[in-house]
Amino acid sequence: MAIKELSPRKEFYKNLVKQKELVLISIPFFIYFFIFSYLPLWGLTMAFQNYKPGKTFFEQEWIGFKHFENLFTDPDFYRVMRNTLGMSIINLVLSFVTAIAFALLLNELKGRIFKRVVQTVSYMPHFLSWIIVCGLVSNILAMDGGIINDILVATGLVSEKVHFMGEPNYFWWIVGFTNVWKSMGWNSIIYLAAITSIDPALYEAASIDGYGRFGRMWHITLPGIKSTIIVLLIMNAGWILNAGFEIQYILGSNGLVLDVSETIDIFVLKRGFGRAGGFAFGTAAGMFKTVVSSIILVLCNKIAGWVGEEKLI
Amino acid sequence: MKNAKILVLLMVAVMALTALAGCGAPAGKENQPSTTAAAPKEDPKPAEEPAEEKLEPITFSMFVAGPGEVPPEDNKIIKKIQEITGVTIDFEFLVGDMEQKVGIMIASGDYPDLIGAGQARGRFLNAGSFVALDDSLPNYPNLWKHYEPFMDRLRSVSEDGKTYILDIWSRQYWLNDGEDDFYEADYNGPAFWIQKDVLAWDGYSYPKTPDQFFDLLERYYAAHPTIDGQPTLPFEVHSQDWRSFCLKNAPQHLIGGRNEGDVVVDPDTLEVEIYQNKDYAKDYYGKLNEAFKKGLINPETFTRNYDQYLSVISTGRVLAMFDQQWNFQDGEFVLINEGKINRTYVPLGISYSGELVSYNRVKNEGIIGGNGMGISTKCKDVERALKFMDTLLEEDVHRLLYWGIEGEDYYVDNGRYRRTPEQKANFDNPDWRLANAGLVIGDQFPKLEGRYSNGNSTGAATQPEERLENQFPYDKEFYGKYGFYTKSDFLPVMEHPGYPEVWSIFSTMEEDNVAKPVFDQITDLQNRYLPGVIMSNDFDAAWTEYANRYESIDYPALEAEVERQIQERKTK
Amino acid sequence: MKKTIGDRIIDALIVLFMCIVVIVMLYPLWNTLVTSFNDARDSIKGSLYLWPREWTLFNYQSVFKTDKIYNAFIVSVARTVISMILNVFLSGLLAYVLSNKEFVFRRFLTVFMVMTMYINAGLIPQYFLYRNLGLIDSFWVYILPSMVGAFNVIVIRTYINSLPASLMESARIDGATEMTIYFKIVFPLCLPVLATVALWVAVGSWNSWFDSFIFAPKQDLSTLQYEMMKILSSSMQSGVNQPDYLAESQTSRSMVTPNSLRAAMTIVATVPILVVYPFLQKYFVTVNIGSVKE
Repeated sequence: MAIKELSPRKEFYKNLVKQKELVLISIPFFIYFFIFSYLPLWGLTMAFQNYKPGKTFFEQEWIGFKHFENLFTDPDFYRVMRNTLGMSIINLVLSFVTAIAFALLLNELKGRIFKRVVQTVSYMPHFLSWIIVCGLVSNILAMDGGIINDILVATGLVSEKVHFMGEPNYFWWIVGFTNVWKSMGWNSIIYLAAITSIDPALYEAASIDGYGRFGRMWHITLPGIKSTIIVLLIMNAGWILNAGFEIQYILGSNGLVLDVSETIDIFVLKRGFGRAGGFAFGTAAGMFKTVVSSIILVLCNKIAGWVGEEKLI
Repeated sequence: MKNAKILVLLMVAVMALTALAGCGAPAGKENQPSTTAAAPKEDPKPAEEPAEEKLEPITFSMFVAGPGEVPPEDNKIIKKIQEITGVTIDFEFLVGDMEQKVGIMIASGDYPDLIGAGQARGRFLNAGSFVALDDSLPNYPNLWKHYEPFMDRLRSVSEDGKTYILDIWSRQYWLNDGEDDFYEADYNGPAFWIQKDVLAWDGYSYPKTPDQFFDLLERYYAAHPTIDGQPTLPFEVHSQDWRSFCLKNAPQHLIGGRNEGDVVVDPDTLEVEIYQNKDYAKDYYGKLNEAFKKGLINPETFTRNYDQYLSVISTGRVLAMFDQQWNFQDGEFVLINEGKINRTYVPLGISYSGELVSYNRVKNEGIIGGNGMGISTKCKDVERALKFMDTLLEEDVHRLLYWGIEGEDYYVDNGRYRRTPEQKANFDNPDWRLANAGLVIGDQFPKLEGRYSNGNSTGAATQPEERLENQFPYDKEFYGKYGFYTKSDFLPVMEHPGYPEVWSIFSTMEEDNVAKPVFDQITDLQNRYLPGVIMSNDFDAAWTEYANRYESIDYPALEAEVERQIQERKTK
Repeated sequence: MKKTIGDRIIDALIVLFMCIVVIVMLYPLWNTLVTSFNDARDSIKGSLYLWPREWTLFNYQSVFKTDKIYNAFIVSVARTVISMILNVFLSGLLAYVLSNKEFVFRRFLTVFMVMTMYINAGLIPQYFLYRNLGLIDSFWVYILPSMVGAFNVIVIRTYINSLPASLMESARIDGATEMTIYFKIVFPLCLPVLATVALWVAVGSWNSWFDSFIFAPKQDLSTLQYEMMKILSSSMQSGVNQPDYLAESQTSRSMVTPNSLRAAMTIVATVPILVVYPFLQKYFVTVNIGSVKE
């Protein structure tokens, strides 16, 4: 063992010397991440305490896994997990598909000015706060003067106005499409940037090979931005438990859709609100989310590796 | 990989060290409420001659756990207050999530000098953030006069029986000359509010029971299916978020109670019961269910957000709702602006028995306790802060805050304070007020309510002459038909039952109280199920399911806790 | 390239589709703009769509009534510009280091960095850290904690990986130092993705208000977004499940914020950052690799 270990170690040191410049550059980054992200991790101890702000670390009461027990034994926990995953997956799929498709179509636009205008306009909703966007959504979907209902009735598609905001079956989709509305243009920017790295010669070659417009999109553009897509997909999969907070809270806090609207973040806030355990309970829930994220991340990363794609790590 | 392991070990060690240092340092001794700082000093007649010596300028930082707007520095009243007291208040109002902001403040001990406790009072009290004021208060004549009769209430809020929070509302001064009633503000609390036009159409009737009430709505609706070309909305049940009191609070009044929030209190035995699962609640929701089936309640009422709720009210086509007037007054404002006075609302004292009940029109009994501000343990000069508040209670200073400067903001006519239409218009404009009036200070500190010793009202809005002059001819005629003076008269006045309103107990409840999770559970259950119950095809089945779920919650624990606290705080 | 009829039809369809997108995407901002120019009391009535009913500039006068808005604007611009420059430069540098497949600490540092996206210690320890670093109520609390972003590093790294590795290899063989390679070769080649990251950072920095709220609530460090939140939050002030029957005070009366004021503040806080993108768009073009190679 000892002899065997020597040679990789030697090689390691050899590399270290050879890459001393890279190492030197890395050190400040390491310190930076350590200080700003890892140092505060002592706060995770709160998850095991009956934490009370204002008391010192030594005066806190240790209660073991009580917060986790409360979290996992709560009958509502599984409901909010279902909602969180449901909305997350819808969001993930919708936002990826629409953003990529939008970027591809935008790339096909010929007029430079028109392209810029479309691009600029499409990312504007990203800048409006949820409170304003949600206000618009509920006005548009209202029965009383909402434009969607007016159109549906006028075209005879429905005989009676639809109560969109009060129907549990629609809620996840309303959230999903509102997200698309708000962030499709914004999300497509990264793909537009990635498209620029594709060698224009490839398109010419493809034309000569007889590929049509969609053929080129499918065989050149998409593979060209595939690594970006995969990496973003992996990173976003890690956030699967962050289905959002504000939109569900603003649009979904009425009794008719509460059962399908509450996400884990809302649940944690409600259970913790105004109680001594608020911070601690939130910390425990945060730890749970981190663990889930890490598992999903490693899994996706592995899968990407198996199928020979760009890995995140 | 081996290197990585060493690194990890190293990191853990460093982290542990900083953790101990990090949280050990900030807390510590300052967090104990220091009574020494507040101990009475030899300070003869502190506030008696405020202008005698030039006071050293001092700035107090103040955090208010509620919304608000910081006034501009050149606000003329605030400048005047600075001249008189030497004190500048540096306000910070809550912007985001209170839990996070207050939690950080408590954990770090980085308190401002003064704290408007608002809804966070329980947390601040629990953390010992305030200086006890029992020993110092008697040294300040105005403050002492203000609080002395209510010291029990102030003390009852804290666990150790000391005074930490000074109430800023509800200390009323009356002259008992038989005219006090005219100085009471218009009723703006909970009731079944109905459009004046509906009553006028019915020959100025007064429905007294839920049946008569919904019957009237049904008849009016049949006769007026649209208002101004848009569909009439006979009854709105707003149920969004914390405003769901519009959905839930009616049953307690229908059996004659005051607004206690989520419980009813037996006035004789002071026993408490949760009412959302009782038969008298079932009767009410049954009525709503009936009304829903008749089309008197639009399903969209349950999904309207607050803006949309105000918007439908402002169109004048909502005939009635159960609500508190301050909650819908912005919609009513629009109606007034457009001269649709007949579409504005009056309260009805409906009850099951048919006997008129007061809803929340209760004779004011003074300070509630816990509803105010405190001086933090980090305050740079406790005595000076108290002196400042003492000065604010001088009638001359108070007048600056709530009436303004004589000759500029109001004039005196025969000893009565009056305002020209222009002065009034100024004061009605929120932006003008922020820049030119002293309300920001007045609202956050102890203040006088009721009447000044010279007979005038302590606030322009309740000066009787002004109110009468401003009454619309429609209103004069409308109220006249009933023999009333204002809309408040639609409700009889109730004697104060001698214990604080229970919702104030909920909001001062210590944060680790066992009753708190129970309270959250019932609130959640009610918000989740009641709209469905009202819209249900099979009301009895829906109600039974709801009531069964209710039984799985340990609500007697909440009842017991509230009972205990009422006993502690009732008038002795 | 010759164009077939099919091509032209597809072109037309795409243009048509894009026009619809423009309308749908423009609507929220347009509606906000309309509301901001409409009388506040009138706005309560709702159903305001494409044109103001009662024109007024009053909402904007309210927004600009005090000096604090100008100060907030300066702070916002300063934090945005500084963050953008630092973050783009540093994230790019780290991405370049991590793109080197031979680098001995590559895997360790990548994991170490990626995990920062998913771990969250909570607000209280963060506050203590910043306090110990002297960042509380300091302008630098806007800059230091967001100097390098793991997400940005990964995105840039992915882009670098898609470039031909031979470029850097040959430079290395020529004896160029890593810093030289980064500045002379990688940086110019990565302009499109760096522009993207610059946009992300600028928008993120501009839009954040939470750091002002917790770490720098002092008025002279207030940002435009924080000023906007002050206005927005009075309509969303309530916590969850808050038993608040208390709002009967006079304060609440003056505090109701009409939609129109909210809208005007949104426009004021949003329009400055909207201009960043058109400015950065010129970098979204394919970089000619040959030109960099010297």
